[in-house]
Amino acid sequence: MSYAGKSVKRLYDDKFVTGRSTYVDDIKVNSLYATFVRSNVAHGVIKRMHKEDALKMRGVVAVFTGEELNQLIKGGIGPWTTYIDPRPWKIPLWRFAQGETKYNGEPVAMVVAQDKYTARDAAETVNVDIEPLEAVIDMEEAKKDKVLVHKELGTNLGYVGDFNAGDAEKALSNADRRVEVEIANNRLIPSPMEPRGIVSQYDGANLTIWYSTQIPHFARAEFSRIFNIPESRIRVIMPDVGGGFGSKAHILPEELAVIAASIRLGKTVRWTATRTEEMIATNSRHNVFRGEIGFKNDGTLVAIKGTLDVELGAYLTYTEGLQPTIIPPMIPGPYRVRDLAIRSRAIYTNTIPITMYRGASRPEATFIIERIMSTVADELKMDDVEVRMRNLVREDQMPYTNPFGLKYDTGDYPTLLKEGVKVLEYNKLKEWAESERKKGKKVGVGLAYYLEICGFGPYEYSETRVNEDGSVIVAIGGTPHGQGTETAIAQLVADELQIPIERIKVTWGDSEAIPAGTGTYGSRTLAIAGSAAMASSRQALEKMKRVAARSMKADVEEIEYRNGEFVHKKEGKKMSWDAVAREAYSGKEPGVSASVTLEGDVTFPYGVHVAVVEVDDYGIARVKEYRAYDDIGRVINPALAEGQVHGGGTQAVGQALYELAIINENGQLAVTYADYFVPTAVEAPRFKSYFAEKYHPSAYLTKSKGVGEASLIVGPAAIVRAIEDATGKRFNKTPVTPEDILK
Amino acid sequence: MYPAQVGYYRPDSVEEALDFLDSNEGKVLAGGQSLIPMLKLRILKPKYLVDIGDLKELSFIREGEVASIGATTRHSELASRKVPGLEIVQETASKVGDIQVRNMGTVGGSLGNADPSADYPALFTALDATMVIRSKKGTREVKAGDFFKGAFTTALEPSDILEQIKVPTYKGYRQAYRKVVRRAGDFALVGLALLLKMEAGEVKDVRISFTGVGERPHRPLEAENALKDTKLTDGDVSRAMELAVKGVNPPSDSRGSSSYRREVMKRLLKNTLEEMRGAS
Repeated sequence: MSYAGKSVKRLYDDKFVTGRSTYVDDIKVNSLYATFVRSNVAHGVIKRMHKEDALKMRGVVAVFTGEELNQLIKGGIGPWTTYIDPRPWKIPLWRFAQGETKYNGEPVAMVVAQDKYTARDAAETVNVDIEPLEAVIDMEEAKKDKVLVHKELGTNLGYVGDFNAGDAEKALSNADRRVEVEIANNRLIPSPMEPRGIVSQYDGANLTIWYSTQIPHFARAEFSRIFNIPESRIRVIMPDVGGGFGSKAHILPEELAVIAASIRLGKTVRWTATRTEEMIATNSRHNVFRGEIGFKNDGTLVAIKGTLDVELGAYLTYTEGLQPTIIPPMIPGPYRVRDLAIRSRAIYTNTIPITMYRGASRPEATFIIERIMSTVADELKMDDVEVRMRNLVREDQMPYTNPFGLKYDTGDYPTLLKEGVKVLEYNKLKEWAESERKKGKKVGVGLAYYLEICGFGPYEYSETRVNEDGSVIVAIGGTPHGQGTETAIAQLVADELQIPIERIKVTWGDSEAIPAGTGTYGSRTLAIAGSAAMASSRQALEKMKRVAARSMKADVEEIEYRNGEFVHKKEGKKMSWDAVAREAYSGKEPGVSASVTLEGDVTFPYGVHVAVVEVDDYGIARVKEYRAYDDIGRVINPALAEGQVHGGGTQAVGQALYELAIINENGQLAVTYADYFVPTAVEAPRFKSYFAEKYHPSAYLTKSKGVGEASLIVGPAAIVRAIEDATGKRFNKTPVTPEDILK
Repeated sequence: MYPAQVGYYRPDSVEEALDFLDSNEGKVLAGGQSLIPMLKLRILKPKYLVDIGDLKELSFIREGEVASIGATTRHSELASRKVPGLEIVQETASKVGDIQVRNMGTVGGSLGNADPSADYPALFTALDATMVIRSKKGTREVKAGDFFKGAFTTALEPSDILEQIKVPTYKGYRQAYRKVVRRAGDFALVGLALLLKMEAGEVKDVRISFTGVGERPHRPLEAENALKDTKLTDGDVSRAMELAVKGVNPPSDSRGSSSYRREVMKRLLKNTLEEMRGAS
């Protein structure tokens, strides 16, 4: 019996396809409803708040301002210090707006009422006098520091860091060719199907918080710090979560206000973002790299020098600090270039704060280095594959320490490229596209390569509990929210314990049921939570053996376990798994459970993806087909892995062609879902996804690496390359709009 | 996303609806595809909704020399019915929104809403249709060309109900509704309704109408006149393309800039004319 490696169907999907799932808004609890009055200017002084009319309305319980809420919100929202060193940063205090508002859409007052309609009606009567201040919306303008978002910081540059390796200047001057490059990703909106929401219950001593989040344990720690309440008295429960893409590893002032109101009123208070609110809750991406590259006439890239500007929006969110420090060291990617000088800057603007978004830093780095590779190919009239082949780190160099000290664990990059080109029929596609173009059709094929860093530590928690009836609960610190990782983990545990998968339940997302945990993000869950689950299950099995040994009056070494049976090797006596479980709860034994906090470090999957694009006479591009060949380590559930390729690939179509979060001159988000074009099933390409059979394992017990973000990491580069092939034009940004194509 | 309080009235007949509208401040609700989102965003806060969506007397398609279409006929019903001489109506209806919108939305609702990027305003302008409007004062008829006053503004008064659209048929015309969208189900970046009658290789009649290029549907009569009696040569087509965009200043928005829209108008007209020329 072996489950790993098979496309076992997702275990817990019935509720999702039959409408019985429980999102935070489905939690039934007697509660008050919060809504927010928002700033309609990008920067301004909050002069006066007229809340009298609202308070007179029937059903209105309270109207709170920043002054009142911030008496309880003691600490500000700060960076994720597990991954972000705050020391080089200039960080403004970020609580509920008080005194000044820093972006259009920022909450400036909160209304609490007995139902959400009353709350909304009352919010319309709250007049806030805001005296506009000069605002800085545009990142290029913000760099000049003429208008400051946060006067107390003295600058809009939240972070400046130099990433230098080798001698870029010298390498550039020795290069055969030097070319200037500008490469950009524009602002996006993460768009989970379920908008964020929170229910906060305060009983006078303890806080219980139902929260649409990817990181319940970190949230507990942050709430503890911010409200100065011990973690033991805060319980964070993550119900079903309808997507996050990184944007739900993010704490909002609205959420802090809901908690503060529940403490202040001693009542349960809830808020679910409307779609409009979700769209301004977080934006993502927006970065520009400007610099110069040097390369030899044979296509060898020898130097990259330049400046990376990353927009922050009005405040430093929990996650955005990752970007300016992870993008630069990932820019070399899978290539051997060793002379780099990258100045990385993070810039505050009076706009909606930015968070990480699926891929977080690797899509940006990959787009930069793949554009550079394609630029070298174009300049030298070389083939895209050939130029990459010339630069890839060779197998004999593995494990390879990149110029910034990242250690690429395992892999054979050139062989994968060779195989990928063959399996994906890249050359055949190129020939076909050329013949189609001769017939007058604008079709093109693009290829891009990626190296991803994922499987982030520092650790993950898992507990394996054998119940009295022999069934098993696996409680993990990972927090799947749509990916289906729970099914893959159940497969791993079923194999470890040699029991049917139906007897296993994987659970997560309750800070009291699961003592510790980090969460699901960064393509880490299967590798680190899966390995933790294997480790805790092995320990649980050892404990089961001991119970069996004592029951059969044998030494534990004399007991062998196979396929649900404990066998006394010498005497041939047997005890079933269930009998041992019953024995464990007979009153003589301590029960059977084992927990681990498994340490882990990053691992590096890689692959090559190919996109086929067709452009019509109006410049409208469609991705017709998307093909992927990846080495993601050992594949535990091919269907789940492929699902990630499809989902990420569809988001890549969105980033490359459709999605653009336009901020107007007033700093207001100028799009709704009527014109922020999230791709639909019609825009989704046909997918072909392959995983390298001769995979290169990670150091994790699962031997897996990660695939959650791969297609959104490399997809935009492959798609943009395909548009270039189709049109003969050059594009160095996302999205490429019909207008860009027609120009 | 939480509308203000609103009253709901569901009449049994158009007569009842008109009585109610005459003495109350109400907004007529048909398929709700535009009205409901506007209520949720609190752009509109009517006192009452008058729901005529299920009134049988307003849902019909009648064939004839001049066909008539009831105002609450669903897009999906129009999309599944071929009316001789009005094939373009079926084609247009099949391109409105997405399946969900087509199942709920009504032709009259869309016309009454008069979104500058909607499909029907251009269509019925090209067809020289007549809007039949009822109120307590009686029934009156307004030509499509006079019906659309501006963006989201029509000849309808608050106490009016659009009853039906009378449409002359165009037998023997090549007909096409073409629409450029950024993404499936989206409003038109530019849409074009085109009807062309050729006899002995010459253009006898042509009707051109664009959507998405201004506050109202744009019918370039100069381009139409220039094409009449021509053989539709490449030169004729180029001339028509230039005349079609003459004096037009399309909006610049998130879907595309003004100059891009002008370019799309020209290409759309060219491609559709060439397609029709080739079909002979």
